[in-house]
Amino acid sequence: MFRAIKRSPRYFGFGAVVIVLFLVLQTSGRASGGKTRPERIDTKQIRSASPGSWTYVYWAYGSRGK
Amino acid sequence: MKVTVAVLSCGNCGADVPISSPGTVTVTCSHCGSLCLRKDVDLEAIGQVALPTPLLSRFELGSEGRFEDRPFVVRGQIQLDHGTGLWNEWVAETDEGWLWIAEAQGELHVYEEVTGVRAPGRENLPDADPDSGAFIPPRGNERWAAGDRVDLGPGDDWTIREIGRGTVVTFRGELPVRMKPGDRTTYVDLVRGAGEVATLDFTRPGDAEVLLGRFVGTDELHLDPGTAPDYEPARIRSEEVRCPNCGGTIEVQDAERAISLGCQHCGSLLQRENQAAAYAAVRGEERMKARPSIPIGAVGDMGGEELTVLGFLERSVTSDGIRYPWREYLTRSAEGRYRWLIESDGHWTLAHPVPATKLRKGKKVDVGGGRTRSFSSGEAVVDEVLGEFYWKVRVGERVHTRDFVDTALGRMASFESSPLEASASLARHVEPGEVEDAFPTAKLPRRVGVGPVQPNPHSPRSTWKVFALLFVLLTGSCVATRVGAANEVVHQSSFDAVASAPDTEEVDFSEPFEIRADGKNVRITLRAPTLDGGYLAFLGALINEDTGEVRDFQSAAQYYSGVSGGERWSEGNRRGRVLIGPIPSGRYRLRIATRPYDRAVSVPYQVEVKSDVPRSLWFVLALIALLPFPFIVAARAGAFEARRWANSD
Repeated sequence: MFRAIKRSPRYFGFGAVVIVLFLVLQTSGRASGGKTRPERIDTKQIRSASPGSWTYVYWAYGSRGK
Repeated sequence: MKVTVAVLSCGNCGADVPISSPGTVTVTCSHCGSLCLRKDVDLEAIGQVALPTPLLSRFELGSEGRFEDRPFVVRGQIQLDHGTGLWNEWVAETDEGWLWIAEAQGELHVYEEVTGVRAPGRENLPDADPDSGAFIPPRGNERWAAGDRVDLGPGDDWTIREIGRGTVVTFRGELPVRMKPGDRTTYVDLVRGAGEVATLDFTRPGDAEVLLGRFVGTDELHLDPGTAPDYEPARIRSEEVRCPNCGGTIEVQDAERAISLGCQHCGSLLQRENQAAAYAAVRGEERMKARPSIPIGAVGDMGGEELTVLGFLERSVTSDGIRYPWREYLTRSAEGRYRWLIESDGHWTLAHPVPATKLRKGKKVDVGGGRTRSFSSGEAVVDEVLGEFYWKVRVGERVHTRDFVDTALGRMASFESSPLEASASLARHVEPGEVEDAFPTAKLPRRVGVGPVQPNPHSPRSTWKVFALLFVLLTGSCVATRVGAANEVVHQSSFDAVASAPDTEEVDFSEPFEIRADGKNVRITLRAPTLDGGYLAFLGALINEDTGEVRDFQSAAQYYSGVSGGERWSEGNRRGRVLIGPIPSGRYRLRIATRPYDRAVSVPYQVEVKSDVPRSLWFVLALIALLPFPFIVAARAGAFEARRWANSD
């Protein structure tokens, strides 16, 4: 195995980086895509208006029933 | 181990001739040079012998050693000429019989005569030329040819290496056989396995005498340094020979063994019958088309051996009207061994002779421990000759060649055979840089294409092994992080159905709940288990009640079913799922707005919040990142091999 690593050191290095990245992502709780920074919304405002866009929801989760 | 069993009087001069062995049949008188035949109480002079031509040797009369735990002492020396120069055979006595030690081109073979082996008859020998006595290369399969199989008994599988006739030039000391100078010898040399040798000696009338033996290294003979001569091939004197054609001076490095000289000045070819004879031109002035990249006489260190370049040959094979040339440099090591440095299209290999034991016309051979595949074959022709050679090389000389390669080990096994002689060599790939380092004055040709045994720089097997290791590490990491993840349900709630119309928003708030895992993700699952024939969109917000920070999220559940053509169908999913993160620990509440899309939907729905959820996506992405490289390497390795084998036949 060491001989194989010796013959493919760059791939082994790349693989090690990938595994480290995997561990970082897996343990950091990072979710893919979307915004990670939260908004600060007034409590009164959140009671009266939904954050986000219905249009986006319909687009992102396209209805098949229409 | 100086023993004298008898002292007899020389049949010619009467001087005392000590006899060291009871088995001595022929002895030479050291006083007058007479050749004497041993009788019961005296010696009968039957002729005169000349002193042997001094050749560099590891032995001398009286040299003592040990072979396979048997002490021996050298009693006699025979000098033979097989038409390619002189060589020595030494006769050594042991307590159990006689050993015959053949010494040629730095190689040693030790033989013992055996009885009870049924050898094939002399009717298998090729016809001999009535004038010269030399064998005529056989045609057809009725007579033996080099490479043929010979059966010496059950399970024996011998291959003919050489069929030839030689001449006893002279000898000295004591011999266990009757012999005299000028005797013609007839022999068939056989090889088997990794280093076994045998000789069928048809010199005397009747059945062949069979000698069995093997290749040996000097260290296997345990020679007593006090009785063995100094063996220092590096000290072989060089000599200057004047070219009879152009008058130029040719410096001969390997003066003791050189038989052929290609004049560097005029291209003429000189040869001598043996080491004791003078050179004569056998071919006149010839304009050299090829020039050696490494100068003749250059000395360099390769593979731990100091090599002196002695000669240069350009040879070629013509196939489908296309000539494929290559160049060979004969070199000699300081230990007196011959090595071939071979260049083809700028690719170099370094070859050494090996027993030609695998000459069957198979597709694979096994030489030197590696498995090899047939690469090319053809009729090789000598086109150019320059420098010195230890045999009678001839321009236009043809031999059948067949090359087998082991690309994994970077080795090439080459077999050359003519009707009367077969030889084999094993070569390793040499990088041009190694040749340049060894011979700084060399001007190497540019490398073109891929060499027959050039190591493939791409190693799919190694890459796949590394991939397997990385996969194990990745899977292990994945399992470890999954086991270590809390994956804890921190909140569950159900919301009742609310009558709603399309594009009408209803809002629900959950009870507050605690998320303890700090900096981890949360997964929010929204289920509408009774949804059928509708679309329910969710706009959610995860509100940190401690800080007022809000993370909004979206999802939807839609589910349709029915019966069509007598078959029940359904599509969609009653569940929506989102992942948010990382988020700090704290007290949270959910705000969920629901809104049907195209028709009124009024169904209850449930919410579940899980904290610190392991993600399969990262594992999949890591796998996708790791996978292409081995395939790319495999493709590049395949392309490299395709270029290599494009030169194969």
